[in-house]
Amino acid sequence: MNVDQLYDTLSNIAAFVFIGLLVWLYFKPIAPDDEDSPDP
Amino acid sequence: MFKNPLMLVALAITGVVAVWGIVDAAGLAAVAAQTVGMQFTSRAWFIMLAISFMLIVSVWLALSPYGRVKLGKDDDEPEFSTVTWLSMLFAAGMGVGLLFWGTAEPLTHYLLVSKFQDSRASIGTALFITNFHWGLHAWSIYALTGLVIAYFSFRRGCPSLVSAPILKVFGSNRVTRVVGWLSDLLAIVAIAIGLGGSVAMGVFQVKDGIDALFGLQDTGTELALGIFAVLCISYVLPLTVDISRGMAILSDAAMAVVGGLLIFILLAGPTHFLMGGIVQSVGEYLGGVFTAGFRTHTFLDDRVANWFQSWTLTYMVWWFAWAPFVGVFIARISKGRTIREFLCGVILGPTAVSILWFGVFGGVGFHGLLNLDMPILDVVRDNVSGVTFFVLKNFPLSSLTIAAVVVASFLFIVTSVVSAAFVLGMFSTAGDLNPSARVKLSWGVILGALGLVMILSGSIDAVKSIIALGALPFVYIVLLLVVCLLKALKSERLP
Repeated sequence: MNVDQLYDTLSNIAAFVFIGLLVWLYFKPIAPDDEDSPDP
Repeated sequence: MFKNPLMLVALAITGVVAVWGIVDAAGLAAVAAQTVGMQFTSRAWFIMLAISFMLIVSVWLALSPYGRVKLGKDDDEPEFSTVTWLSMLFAAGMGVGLLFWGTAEPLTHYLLVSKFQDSRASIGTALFITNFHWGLHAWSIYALTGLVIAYFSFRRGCPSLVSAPILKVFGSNRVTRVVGWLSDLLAIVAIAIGLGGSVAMGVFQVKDGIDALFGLQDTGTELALGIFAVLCISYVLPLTVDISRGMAILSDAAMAVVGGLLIFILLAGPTHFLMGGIVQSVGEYLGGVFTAGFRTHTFLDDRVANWFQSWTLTYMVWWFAWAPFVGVFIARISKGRTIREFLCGVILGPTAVSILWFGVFGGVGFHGLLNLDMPILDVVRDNVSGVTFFVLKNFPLSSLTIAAVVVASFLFIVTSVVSAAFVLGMFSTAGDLNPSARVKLSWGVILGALGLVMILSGSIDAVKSIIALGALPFVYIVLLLVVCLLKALKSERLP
């Protein structure tokens, strides 16, 4: 595996991890003290 | 000011880029092109997926019950009438980019597309690609970023900072504070470098306008540097004293010049040809825009791959780079509107104006090529910033229209630099809505230095590479901000 291929692989793994992180953050419960919604 | 680590680090990073560029502009451009090329090759799919995600989320939010949520308290009313609001959005979307690329971009795409398609069919494709670059996807990036800032500022009472939604949604701890700090830093770097590119584009445009107006040739970098010096003198005063009302008048004047120019070209030019082209563009755009957002050109040859990197991908990361800057502006004028009104106005209005603009200016170029045998493709190949003036020379009152474009370009650059120095000052001082003159002047100097770097690099391709280098990391921040918004909306009690 040459340097370009290695960069390509690592870069794409980082992108997969980032997408996974976003999905996880979306479903992660909100901290209780931040759940205040504004007055309707 | 010098006790603020964010301000110091941001000034240091942008300052190092500026000094590097002034000392060795070609070296910086080469490193930027190589780095951006590697990133675009491996992450093209990610960028296209991200822009389509932004559009899909925008449409879903506008149509969902969350569309009824107000950007402000439930009894807040919009500050501006809908017509004034829409015209201010147009002003944010127009600017020096449209003046620069109006004729040049469709013709540049035509040069490549006509190698694969029948030359007349290529015109439709070239206009479609241009509209794709400036249309719904671009504005959904601006709209969602602006929506995040507006929602958290006006409804949740946060400062207008990129880091504020992250801290609000995930709570303040060591990790979120570091991520928030880095987000503010990356936003500042992306805006500063992106604006430096716009300054350079504007200066190139003004220079070619002056060349065309006075019949000058081979004025080289000297005239560009002279224009740059006048520009720097022009924006020092607005940065040191508050003349926001005067700046608004200048911005309106530039918009009036641009609007008048559009109507003049439409009526004085081949009107039926232009209107026919515009209507066809609308149809082709609506028919293909969704699939175009997922097109990565993976199975085509290197010529298309290189074009895709230097145009579509560069544009898309450029919109991400400008998103915090434009987002702050459109958020500030949109208090009291619902999410549905905000998204429809911000995405549909400027997209419609862009299609009209490229239909008129691109159409005039294609009309000259097809029916008048103008050597316009040679001008596109040799000097892309002179294309608009080449077209205007073939119209009556050309001295007047060329002078109008020169003046409008200059005004757009001055107002952009002043606004950007304000936003950068605000971002780098923890959301202070009245950053001191010293802070704004510091950013004015850095923006000027970055603009000088881009001018010294001497080519639009180099400018685009340097901008993309500054903007790429910010793609991730914008996606994180959208997740913050979606998460916060889950806790809304719907009206």
